[in-house]
Amino acid sequence: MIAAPVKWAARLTPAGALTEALSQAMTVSVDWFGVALLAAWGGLAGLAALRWFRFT
Amino acid sequence: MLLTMFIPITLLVGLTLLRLGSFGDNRAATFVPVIMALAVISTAFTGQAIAVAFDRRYGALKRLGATALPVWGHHRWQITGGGHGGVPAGNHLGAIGFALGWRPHPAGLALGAVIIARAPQCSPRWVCLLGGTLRAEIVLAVANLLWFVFAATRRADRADRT
Repeated sequence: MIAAPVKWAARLTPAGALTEALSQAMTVSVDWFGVALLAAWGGLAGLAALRWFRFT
Repeated sequence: MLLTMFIPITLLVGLTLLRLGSFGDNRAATFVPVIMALAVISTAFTGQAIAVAFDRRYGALKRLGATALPVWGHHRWQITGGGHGGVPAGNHLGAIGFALGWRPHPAGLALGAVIIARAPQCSPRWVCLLGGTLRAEIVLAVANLLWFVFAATRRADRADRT
């Protein structure tokens, strides 16, 4: 049995969000929470990359 | 190739055919989306992060930086190219899953295809963040470590549901 906090931590990773979104898509439903989570991860990383990315 | 194709295919075939654990009768339906997501993340994130880091190490990014290409332009290019790398991975694993007995609803398959094409586009931003800020060796270690974290969290989440 997996503890609830571990389960939630897994769910909140990008891989967790993608897996859940994909699993639900296969049953013809949309996991809006997963999609929003992926967008949030992308937005956060995008801002951080714009701030700290260096070509050299 | 190891992280993007060989290990996911081995995991998919192994977990579907070997009756380990209680994952229901239709093991292919349980494991195909999980392994597919792992392969897509591997393609769009792990491989790309390592490639960007070593491009930077060997001066390829420095030459790009000397052109008129702005940082956001590089990120957009990475998102367009790297983000779509997950599509072939999803196709291969879907075909193998089909051979193993996975039979998704056509509408679900179409929805899944949209998610595979669009959702991994958050990964290249992490690719740019890691590959464009840390040393190549550190990116190599962190990207591979994150792959294991992603794989483990997928197992944890899935095991809890069955």
